[in-house]
Formats: sequence, structure tokens, C-alpha cells
Amino acid sequence: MTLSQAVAYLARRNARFFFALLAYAFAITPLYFLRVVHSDVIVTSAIFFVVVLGLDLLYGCAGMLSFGHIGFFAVGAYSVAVLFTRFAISPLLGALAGTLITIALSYALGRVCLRLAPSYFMLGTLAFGIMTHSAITVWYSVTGGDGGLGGIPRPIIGCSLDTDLTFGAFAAACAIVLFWLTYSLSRSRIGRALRAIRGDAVAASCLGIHVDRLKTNTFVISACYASFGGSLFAMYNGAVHPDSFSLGTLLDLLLMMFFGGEGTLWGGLLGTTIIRQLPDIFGGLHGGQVLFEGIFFCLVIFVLPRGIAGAVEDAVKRLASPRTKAGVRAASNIPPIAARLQPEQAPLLQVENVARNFGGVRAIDGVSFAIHRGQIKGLIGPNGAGKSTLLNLISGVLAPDDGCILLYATELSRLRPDQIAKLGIQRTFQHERLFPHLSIEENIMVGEEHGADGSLSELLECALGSRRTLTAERAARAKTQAWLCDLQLEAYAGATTESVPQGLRKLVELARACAAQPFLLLLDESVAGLNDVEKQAVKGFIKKLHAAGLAFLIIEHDIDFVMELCEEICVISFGRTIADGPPADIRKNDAVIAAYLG
Amino acid sequence: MPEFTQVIVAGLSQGAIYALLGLGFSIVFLATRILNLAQGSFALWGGFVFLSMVAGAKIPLAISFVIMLILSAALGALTQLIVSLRSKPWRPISPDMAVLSTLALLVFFEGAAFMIWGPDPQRGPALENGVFRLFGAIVPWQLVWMIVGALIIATGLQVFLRSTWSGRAMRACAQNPMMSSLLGINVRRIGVLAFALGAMIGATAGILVSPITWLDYQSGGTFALNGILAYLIGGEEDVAGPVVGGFLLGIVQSALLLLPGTSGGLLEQVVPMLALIIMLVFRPQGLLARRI
Amino acid sequence: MERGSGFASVFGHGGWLRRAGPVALAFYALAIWAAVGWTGALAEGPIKVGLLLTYIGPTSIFARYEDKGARLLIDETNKSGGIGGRKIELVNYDTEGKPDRAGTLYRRLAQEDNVAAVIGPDSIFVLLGMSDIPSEVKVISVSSPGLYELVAPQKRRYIVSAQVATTFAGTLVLAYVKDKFHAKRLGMITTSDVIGQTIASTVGKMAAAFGMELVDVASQPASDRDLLPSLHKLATLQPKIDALYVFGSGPFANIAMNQSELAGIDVPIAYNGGNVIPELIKDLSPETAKRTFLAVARSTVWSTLPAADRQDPTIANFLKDYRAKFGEEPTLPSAVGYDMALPIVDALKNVGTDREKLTEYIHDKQRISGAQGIEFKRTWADGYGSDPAELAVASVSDGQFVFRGFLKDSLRNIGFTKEDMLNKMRELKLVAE
Repeated sequence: MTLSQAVAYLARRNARFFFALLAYAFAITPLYFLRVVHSDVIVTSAIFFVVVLGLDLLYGCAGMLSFGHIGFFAVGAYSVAVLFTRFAISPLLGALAGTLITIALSYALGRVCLRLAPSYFMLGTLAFGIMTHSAITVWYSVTGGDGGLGGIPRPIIGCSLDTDLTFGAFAAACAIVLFWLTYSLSRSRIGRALRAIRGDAVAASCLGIHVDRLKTNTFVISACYASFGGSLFAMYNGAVHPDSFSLGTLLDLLLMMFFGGEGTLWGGLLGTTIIRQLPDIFGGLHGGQVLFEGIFFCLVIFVLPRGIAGAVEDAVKRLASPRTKAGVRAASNIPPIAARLQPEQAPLLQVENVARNFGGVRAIDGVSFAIHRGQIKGLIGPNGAGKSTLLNLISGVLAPDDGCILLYATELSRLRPDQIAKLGIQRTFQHERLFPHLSIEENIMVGEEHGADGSLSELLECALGSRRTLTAERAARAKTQAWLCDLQLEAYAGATTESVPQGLRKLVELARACAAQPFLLLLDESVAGLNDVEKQAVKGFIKKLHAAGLAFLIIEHDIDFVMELCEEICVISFGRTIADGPPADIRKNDAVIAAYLG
Repeated sequence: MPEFTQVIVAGLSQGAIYALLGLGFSIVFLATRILNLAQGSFALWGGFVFLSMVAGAKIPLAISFVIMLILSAALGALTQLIVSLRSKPWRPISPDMAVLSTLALLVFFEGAAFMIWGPDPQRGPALENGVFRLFGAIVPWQLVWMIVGALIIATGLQVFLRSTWSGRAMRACAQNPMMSSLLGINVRRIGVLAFALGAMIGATAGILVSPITWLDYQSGGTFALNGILAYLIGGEEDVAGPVVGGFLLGIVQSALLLLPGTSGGLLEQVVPMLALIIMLVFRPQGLLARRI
Repeated sequence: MERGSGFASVFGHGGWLRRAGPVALAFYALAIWAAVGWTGALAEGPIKVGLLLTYIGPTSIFARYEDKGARLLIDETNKSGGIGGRKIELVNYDTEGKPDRAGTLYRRLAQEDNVAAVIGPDSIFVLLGMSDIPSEVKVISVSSPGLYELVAPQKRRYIVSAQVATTFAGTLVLAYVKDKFHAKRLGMITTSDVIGQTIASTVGKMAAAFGMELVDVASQPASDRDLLPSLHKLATLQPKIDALYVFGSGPFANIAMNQSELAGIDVPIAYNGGNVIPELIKDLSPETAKRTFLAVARSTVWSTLPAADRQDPTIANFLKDYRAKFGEEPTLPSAVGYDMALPIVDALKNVGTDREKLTEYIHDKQRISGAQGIEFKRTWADGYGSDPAELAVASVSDGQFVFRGFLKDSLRNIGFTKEDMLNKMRELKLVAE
């Protein structure tokens, strides 16, 4: 991809960024000159927009609602204030120090809270936010306590940013840069990976996304946004006071994000300006403002859950003509797999004496079988036999209590699901797990992009839009189109997962798993609930993939389907293998008939 | 000795309020898995409406109390209705949205309280005035009422949850709403009952505490926070958890005030929060719960 | 191949946009130019004065009275023709109790609203946090902080106070306690923040200067609602204290006074702070009310002053006009609000709207006596401006403040003149100059 091509691609992909900024500028300018909106409202909106960007990245993309960002906001502000008043350190260096402290604090808090259930995550971060507020209120020898700290000068960049205009330009520049980076990130594969985590963390992990690392890094980065915003806040006001970092401000931040539109990022522009303007709208009716915020909040949560920007985006999607990519039928996507594996006689996957308990129940009790290169193996048995549990063990969602699972020579039992995915094993789920926050096309792209590492370098690269990531993204999009064409699903490319019928959703899930180019595909009741026509389509698809060298482990209750398709069938019952062999043998096996086929 | 007794008494009485607030949380969480931040508002409104009736309209204490219970039950039911507007028993609302809904309601109630009662702190009527001496400490009778009230309500709740059909249905709903629904338990009605009960308990807490600790329109948030703390420290045992957590919290806060100078004030606010985070790390199930 | 942004597709492929665009842009620019011109034309007209108070939070109850007092004067001035034919317009903002917000609003008043001077802010916490800003924008602030002493001397050019300095008033109350009750041992309850602790230190030193001993100071956070632990600590001191000194504004002091009885304290209570409004004393039990003594301005106890002292026409008129306009009795904060507006109105009448001239006049040349009955004599060296020796001491009876005596008399009775007191305070480094 040449440089100009990359720029054009980036501009088109991030079009909403330009639209939002232009619309905002157009709307604000007359309001400013009419003295309806004062300059300090505009400047503080820019500052809060920085914080809301971080919050929206964390919640809108990753689905983690943190109540603790008020604490990071305070850390950023008070670092600037304390370092200047006690040690005469310039505000910009103070901001840097604040960011470093925030990184440490957020990393620690993240380790503690990110593995908790959502309600407890909110509580844990809330506790942090309140603790910070209490600490700055009471530790008055350092923070000035109830009196606050004043006299913070404006930073000097070239000139001293004394007026609203100069500081406002500085703050706006920072906000715009961060907006660009964040928006780029949210449209890149990291954004897709985060939304995948938000929808279904387990499925995300099985597609190669390093969930823990990505969540932690995103949390830290969003905390840094809050801290930087806090530093700007302190520099602009020239003073800090605990009341500006209390729960009231937290509520304002949440309202800004939700009213603007969570998940849209640009909604923050709307949200911050309107909330900052509220005191001027209400003038003397101070109580009215409090009530109004409550009503606002209720309205948003109950009536407009996606906020104003969300409503606008939904409306635009309805107005925009759906583009069906008829005509250009891309070459089939199915890659030749055989070429990538070494010729081996040893089995591809070896399950040896695996056992797993749940409390007192022994769900899997010493199961062993093998799958060879390019083989279609069936796994059948009565309900509750442990088939799905076996798939969970192989894909890494659960760890075995005993025995081992080998992919060639690699021991799988201590690996994370995303590591196993990267080794070449993919799966589908019994109750289909598409990512509800991604479109059909984006779902498949997650598979195609092999998930995400979640490392900071990857995040940076995606935010900056390096040519490498853009090229990869364009290629992934093209390949995804091909997959959709293969399955005759082009019309659904931009659709939400909810609007697609059940049978087709399972197909999409299958395509998503295949897009990750595995050697071994674990299918958990892929045709359950499909009609005959759809079943035949799936069968044909599996056969095509098989011809290319893909191995399968298929769990199914439709016996005819299994018998027709599989080369070997393993039967388990009550967590134990009762038979393992070609279909013909299984059909005649007494034990199997007694337990299952009967 | 008198100072020590003073601290214990103050701690227990404050702890009684925390225990009641925690119980309110517990019963709603138990039945609906929703962390109801508006619980603080129930306490606030209970206290305010009660004092308006007694001090403003001069309605006798006992009648006011009964009216108060009815009104708060209605408020609780209304809250449940609003919060679960979009949910079905087989597809409950996500925890994020549930907490946010209750937060939105908390803010709304705060604003409404401001509009109705103004910004100034107000003081409710004591159930019984006067003080007595205990081991050299001064004990207002109101404190005794707070402690006794909390214990009575806790015991009643325990009996309700273990022995009555509705109570056991409530515990079933928490564990598996879909199954409970299929078994014929009206999950929605149980939810309403839980919220109504929680609101009544919260209102009682507000009434008991308002003579000692003045109420203002922002008290809702503080109550909610303390209630959550009490609940989380005590753990997921339905009744014993909040009670133990609440009393412990009250005594610790009271004891911290003993420290000289202003450091007592510092720790009083920071320590509970720190405790919460430590709890979440090492013992998320709280002090009392037995399961891993 | 890619799906472009949905937004772009709504605009189609630019046909009509290319034609209509420039025209729309031209209209837009015209509209902006018109807006700029129109708001510019509004510049002449009324004289703008800022009104910056705290309408939310625990101190908002005072702000509401101050607001009324200030508006009373402005309305009267406007009714009698304004200043040189121009009316005074108040530009009113709410600090919300946050110094950073107050600072930003102060800048807005100075730079965008072009006010001549600012009435407010009204709390020492808010003022301390933004005390650099009046000097930065060179617009004078007539404020009502309780502890003007804490404002750094180099910032006092553009900040003056219309309220009596708390350290002075507090010291005078100590004199009363010594004079009337011959107290030797004092206990004190105060807030645990910077202000409360500063007052405690001042009280301790000045009590010693008057021959009393501050035996113990109990502190709790200002937001605490149960003060029994601290009060009990003071009540059980052995030997018993002769008097209790209470410091704190808002509910804190009220709770302290009410709970003192529960804690077993039955000695006189000396109070200093902003609590001199009916709402905050209406809950006092008769027993407590009898033995509570507060430092008040003369206007608060006007009806119970001896006839010889009731000669000030400013106060009499203020009381009459306030009652007529608002239908309620004025309180101390009402008088403070009036006295915040008074220097500005007086200066506008004498030197016009130039900001520097106004500042110089208010500092150098202004000699006025306000609705509190306190004279404002500001010099370069002493920015306080108000003479606390004109304060009275009152107790509470039937929800009313009742005059008990003049503080300057007590000072004299214990053998001190005002100069002695000031010298002592300078010696102990309690005042910065």
C-alpha cells in the first residue's frame, strides 16, 4: 500500500472523526459569538472530552464501566498542584509525573479489579475513587485539604498560555490528537477485539485475543487519559479543590458519556459541552440543575441507551443505502492447509486419560482418543456425557484435573485459550456465541485477524495507523468478503447479529472459526436447529474444507449426519469412552446401542 | 473506661444504621442480583417524609411510621418497575445497565429531594428524648432504639427468608431466575416484593438516624455507600452478613476517631474504602460466607 | 471494496453539495459577522457588577441572605436614578463552593462580562483557592470571608472584606468570657480543617494573653454530624472547664451547641462564626440558649440595643427597607451582603467605572459605615477595613438575638485597649501584614 493509498484509506475509515469535528466547530462558533456559550465552557469541554474519551474507550469498546476514573483525574490534577506549590516544578512536568503515578496506580487497581464480575468491578473502582477523594480532603499537609491549592501557573510552550484563546487552542489540540488516536484505535483490529471482549470474553479468548492483557492495557491507557485531563484542568483553573473531584463530578462524567453516546467516541463532544453549559442554562435555579441532571440521566438510561450520538448513528444507518456487493465474486477463500503441516504419521491431537471434576461430580473420567491430520472425527453420546466439557478442555476454556492433551508434541493443558487458538485449534459453541457489538462482517474479521495480542506496541501501532496494519486490515476485509460470498451471506455483511436468523448465525460462527485458518476445527452441534437445506449447505462446506486438509472434531446429535460425514467416531457416556472406531463398527456396537442409539 | 464505652455505643448505633442499609441491599441483591444504589434514597426519603409528617403536619409518631412504611413500599415497588422496564425473566438486564439505572434514580431522587425540602440539613424527631448513663458514658435513648430496631428487623428478616414460602422463593429466584420462572414462581412479583421490603428497611434506617445525624438532600449517596460497604464486608450471607459488616464498620469508624488530632478523621474515610478493596482482592465473598 | 462510512453515503456523491455549499457558507459567515456586531453594540448601557456567591452546599444558606442584602442596595440605587443616569446590572454566578470554578467565573466576569467590580466570593475556602485571580485580572473583589487574615498581604490590593475578621472577633469574645464569667479554664471544639485549626491556635494564644488557659481542643471533620465523642472528652476534663468555645459554621456549630447539653456541659458557651441566623438557632433548647453568647453586629440586635446606641440612620433605613422589600427580618448575612455592595456603589458614585480608580478609592479614600454598624477604614497597611470593636455580644431568647453588651466594654474591663490587643497579636505573629 503506498503512502497516499494508506492516507486515503485512513481518511475514509475514520470519516466520522472529521464530520464530528466540523459539525462541532460549525455549531459552536455562532453560539460563542452570540455570547450564549462562554469561552471557559468551550475550554473545559475540551478538557473533559479528553477524560470522556478514555471512559468511552473503556466502556464503549471494552464494556468495563469504571467509577474510579475520578480518582485518576484527581491524581493528575493534584500532581500538578502539589509539585508546583511544594517544589516549584513546572506544570507540564507535573502532568508527566501525574501520568506516571496513574500508570502505577491503575495497573495495580486493574490487577485487582479486572478479574471481578462487572458489579464488583464497578464497586472496586468506586471505592478507589472515593478513597482518593477522601485522601485529598483530609491529608491537608500535602494537598491543602478543604482549602485546596491555588496559584498554579499556565504552562509555557513558546509563550505563556495565559488567555483562554491560547490555552484553549492548546487543550483543543491535545483533545483532537487524542480523539484521532482513539478513534483510529476503535476502528482497528484492537477496537474489534475490545468489542469482542465486551460481547463475550470466552469466545474472544478462543479466537486468539489475549483478554487479560488487552483489558489491563486498555484500563491503564484510559486512566492516563483521565490523568492528563486532570492535569489540564488544574492548569486551566489555576487551583484545585477536593469538591471538584467528588462523586458529583463522577456523575457528570458518566452523564457526559452516556448522554453523548457511549461507544461512539464523538458523542463525548456533545455530552461534555451540554453538561458544562448546564449551569449557565439554569442560572439562578441551582436546585433545578440537580434535578435536571437526574432526569437527564434517567432519560438516557431508560429511553436513549445509546445516547444522542448513538441515535444519530442508528438513524444514519437506516438512511444510508445498504450496499450489496453483487457481481464481483471473489475467489474462494479456503486456503490449502495441507501444505502448511509437516508430513507426519503421529496424530495431530492426542487426548490421553483426561479427567475433570466439578465439585463432587466427575464429569470426565479418563477419556482417550486421537485425531489424525485431516481427519473428520465424530464425538457422540447421550446428554450430559461430557462432550462439550471435552471441547472446553481441548480449547483451553477449562483445565483438566488429570491426563494430558497434546497437539503434536505441545502440551495444551496449561495454555490459555488464545494461545491454543494461535497454535491452530478453533471451535464453535453449543449456543452460538457471536459478538453482539460487532456486525456480521466484523465478527468474521476478528477471526481473520487472528484476534489480538493486546500488547502496548500493538495498541500504539493500531492507534497510529501504520501502513502495515492498514494493509493487513484491507486484506482481512477482502478475505472476509470472500468468506461471506462462499456462504452466500453477502447481503448480511453490515447487519447486526440480532437481525440475522438463527441458522445463518451458526454459519457465521463457522465462517469466523474458519477464517482463523486452523488445522483443527472443533464443532459443537453446528447444525442443531437448522433445517435440511441448511444442513446440507453446512455438510458441503465441511467437505470442502476437509478437501483442503482441515481436521474436524464434530459433536452432533443428528446420527445420520455424523455417520455420513465422519471417518471415525468416538462415543462417550458418563464421562467415559465406550467405543472408538469407523461408523460401521459403531453402528453395530452393543454398548453404544444400549447407551445411546437404542 | 467511659471513653471506651462511649466509642462502643456510638459505634454500635452507627453500625446499626449501616446494618439496616446493608440488609436493604442484601434482600434486593438476593432476589434480583441487582446492586440497588437507590437504596440510599429510600433511607433519605423515609427520613424526610417522616419528619415532614411529624414536625410539619403534626401527625402522631406511630401513625406516621405506618404511613411511612406503606409509602416506602410503594416507592420500592416503583423503583423495581422502572429498573426492570426492559427485562424478562429469561433475559435479565445486564448488570451494568441495572446499576446505572439505580444510579440514575439515585441522582433523580436527590434532585427531587432538593426541590421539595431545600438544601438545608434537617433533623428528625427522636423516638425518645433524653439520655442515661452507662459505665460513665452518656447514652441517648435514641441510640438504644437504633440498635434494638436493627436487631428486630434482622431477626424478622431471617425468619422470613428461612421459614416462609415467599422468603424461600426469593432465595430460589436469585440462584436461577429462569428455572424459578418455569417452576411457577412469579419472578417479577418476587422482585417487587424484594424492592418493597428493601425500601421499608431503608426508610426505617433513615427515620432512626435522622435525629442524630441530620439529613440533607445529598445524604442518599452516603447512605448507599455505607450500606454497600456493610454488605460487602459482611459477605453474602443474607442476613448475618450485613449485620456483622454493619456493626463492624460502625465500631471501626468510631474507634478511629479516638486517635489524636485530625488523623482520626482521615482514617475514618479512607480505611473503609481500603478495606473494601482488600476484601475484593482476598475475600470477595465477605467475612462470613463459606463458599469458595 | 470497503464499506465507506455511513455518514458519507447519506450525503450522496456531492452533486447538490457542490452547488449549495458555497452559498450556505456565505450565509453562515454573514450570520457570524452580524452576531459579533450585535453583541458589540450591547457594550454600552448598564454598568455591570459581578455577584459571585455560593448557592449550593452547606454555606448556601448565608449566600441567600447576602444575595438579598446586595440586591436591596442595587435596586434602591437604580430606583433613584442609578449612577450618572446608567443603571447597575448584576451579573450573577454560582461558585458551587469550588475555588477553581470561582476562579474561572471571576475571569469570565472580568474579561467577557466586563464588570467594574465583583461582589463576592463569600467563603474563605473559595477565596483562598482563587486569591491570585483578582490581582491577575485587576478587578477588585469585595468579599465576605470569615478569615480575611489568611489572605496573603500581597494579594490584598484587589481583595477587601466586608465582614469582620474572625480572629479579632474571636479574641474579643474571649474578653467577654473573661470579663463576665471570670473564666480560667477553657475548652474548645472546632473543625479539623485548616481554618478550624488556625482559630484554635489563635484562641489558645490570646486566651493565655488574657490570663486564661485553653485546656483542651477537640476537633472533628466539619461534615460530622455526631459530636458527642469530642464533647464528652471536654465534659470529663478534670478539673472542669469554666467555659466552652465553639467554632464552626453551619450545622457543625449548631450540633455542637445542641449536643453539649447531652454531653453534660453546663457552662457558658462562647461562639464565633457565621451562625447568626434564625434557622440555625431555632433548635436550641431553652437551657442551652440561655448560656450561649455569640459575637454579632449591631444591626442583628437593633431592637434590643440601648436607645443611645440606636442612632445610626444607615442601619435603621436598611432594616426598614429590607423588611418592606422581603417581608422578613434581616439577618447578619443580609447586612453583610448589603455591606459588600455598599463600597462598590459608593465608589462608582465618586470616581466612575474605571477599574483602577475604583480600586484606589476603595482602598485609600473610602470612609463609610455600613448596615452592620461597622466602620470601614481601609489603609494600605491594614486591609481588614472593619473595626470589630464595634461588635456586640448577644444571647438567644425565644429564637431572637438579645443584646448583652459591647465587646469593647469587656476588653476595657479586663484591662486592655484595642491597641494593646493588636500589638499582642502582632507579637504572637497571629496577623500577617
